[in-house]
Amino acid sequence: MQLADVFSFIKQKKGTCYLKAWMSKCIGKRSYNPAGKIDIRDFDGHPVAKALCLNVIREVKFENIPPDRLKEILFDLDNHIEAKTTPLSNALTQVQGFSSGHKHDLCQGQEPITEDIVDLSRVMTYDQIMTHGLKDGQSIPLNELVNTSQTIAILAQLLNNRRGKGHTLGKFRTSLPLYWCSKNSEISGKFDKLPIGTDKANKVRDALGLFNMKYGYAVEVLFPLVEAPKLRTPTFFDAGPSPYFCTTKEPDKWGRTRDLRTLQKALSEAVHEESDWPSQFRLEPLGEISPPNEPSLSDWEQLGQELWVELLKLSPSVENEIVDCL
Amino acid sequence: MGEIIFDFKDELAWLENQSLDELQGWLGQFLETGDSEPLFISSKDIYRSQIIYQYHRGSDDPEFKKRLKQAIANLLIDWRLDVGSLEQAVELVTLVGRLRVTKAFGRVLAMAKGGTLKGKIGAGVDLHYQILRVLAGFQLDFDARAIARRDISDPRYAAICFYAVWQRKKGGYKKAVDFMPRLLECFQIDPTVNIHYSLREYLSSLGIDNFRNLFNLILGKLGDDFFPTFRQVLRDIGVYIQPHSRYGFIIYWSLDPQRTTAWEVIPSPYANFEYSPPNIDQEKRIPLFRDEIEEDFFNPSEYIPTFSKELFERHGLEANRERMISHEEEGNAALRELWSPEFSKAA
Repeated sequence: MQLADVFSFIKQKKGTCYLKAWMSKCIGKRSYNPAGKIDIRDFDGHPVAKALCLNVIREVKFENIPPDRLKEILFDLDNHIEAKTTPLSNALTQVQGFSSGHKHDLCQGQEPITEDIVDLSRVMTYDQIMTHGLKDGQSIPLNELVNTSQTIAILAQLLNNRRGKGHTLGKFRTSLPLYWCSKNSEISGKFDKLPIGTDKANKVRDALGLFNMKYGYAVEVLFPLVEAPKLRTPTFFDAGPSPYFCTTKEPDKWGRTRDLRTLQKALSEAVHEESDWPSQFRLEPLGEISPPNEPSLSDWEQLGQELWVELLKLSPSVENEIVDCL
Repeated sequence: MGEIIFDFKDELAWLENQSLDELQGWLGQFLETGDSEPLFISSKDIYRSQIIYQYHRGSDDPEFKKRLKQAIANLLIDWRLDVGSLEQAVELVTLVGRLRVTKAFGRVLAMAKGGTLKGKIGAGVDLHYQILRVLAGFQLDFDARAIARRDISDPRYAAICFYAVWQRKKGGYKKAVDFMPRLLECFQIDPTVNIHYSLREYLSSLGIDNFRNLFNLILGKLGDDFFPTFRQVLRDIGVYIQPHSRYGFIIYWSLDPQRTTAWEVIPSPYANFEYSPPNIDQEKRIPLFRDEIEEDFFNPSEYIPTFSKELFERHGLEANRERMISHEEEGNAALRELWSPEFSKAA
């Protein structure tokens, strides 16, 4: 799909296209370079905003979402940006909160290939499980949640004893009504040899790109693929939106996490809609996490360049589309 | 255009510099809509209350922490069902509980009293349940205890209310026994009610010695109507109660997977009770320990020979050995008899 199609679709429906203006703001002004090819580094937009914007463009070009559906979602995004266009708003905060305001736009990606996958896994903090997710957790006063491998072992034992008895354990979801998961084989292959502790927990957290997980005890929830609702390739809209998310087009149709330390693609990831906790699962303690080292602006600039190069490889016409549209 | 703040340390520094009013305005907007301008917090997979909790934990500024708690209290006091969102209320209540915002206690109590928030769901959570979780975490005053006693009959809230009635009060353990029939009745009506964790916490706090002391009281309170359910739930959480024709009840206590487990033999005075054996006058107590016998633990023929001198010495129980050994024959017989097919299956 062409960017121009999206913009004209939005204009047809409501006259003004705020999405286009937002993209211009993200990418910024181009420094004078009449002869050379377009290089994203020639634009003076904020490096993180450029990465965000490139993810939107990649969604358009990669077509992980059927084109007509994607146009509608971008129309919703346009409305969201319009509502948040104030003198104080910057390019990043204009898209903030889009996903929670447009829940019907979530989980719209393709179906990833799941052959040879037995178990899925999800890493979260014990706090997250106990404050909102798990019904059993709700029997504990909020100020008495203690995060240790021992409390997790107790929780695991308790849930194990009750599995398969028709109990509803709670909702498998996060702040949005969807759930992120990875291939357990990838996580165990990379990290199983590490002893439980902060080093292991931080490494797993970083590889999964869980940038908001700064404190708490990390736990891996493992569950069989057969118990998961239909998986979907994660899209920009499922992610918050977040610049740490990476819109991808891989042969296996899985998304890819972005490692917090390197900003490089790391592990496979997918999403599914909110569901009940699976009846079969295991809880594996990983360790206490500590705040991650956050990437510098030059790391983000470098990432923008990599996103751009990859985009050009898959869609050479995008260079002209940007010039025409922006 | 506003500046872009995109780094945990910068975000925290910005928040720490806000006055109470500014902080309150920002927090209200973030919890209501997810809009954290001018900070860029992309909440891909985490609850908003968790993000705020992390700022609180990451800050070394006690004044900021105080302002943050005050802002949370003010927002909750101002919150109204017809104006604010349920998601915001759930997240505020969650923060009140996690950060122990004592200034909001009166408001939380008032929200609980009316009972109008029962069944109202925000962020996937029942708001009234989250309120009860906060009340249970504070030292309960008379009003809060009255709410717990009121709501323990409602299957949706029975588990946390049971927690509230026994927690940190003089005589709380014994008092909780009075409420056990109500708790178990909720479970009988709706087996999806999660009373397990609550009972587990109670028993864990109680300890095996107190459980032994209260056991006959529990038995009397539950009677034939509720004792089978009690036994079933306790089996799920790792406490096996096996009625025994000669020894009363044999209890296998394994609440914590990482700690020593023990057998207890508890004589019962309830001769006419369905599960009751004949009275036993003398104390028969046979504690065993399972350190290194993981694999064959559930096979009594393997287990019984570990009744050894070394085992008692290792656990510092040499002084009690003579008394225990005197019951060895009876203990072994009891354990063999205990191995009914039903119990093996449950194990």
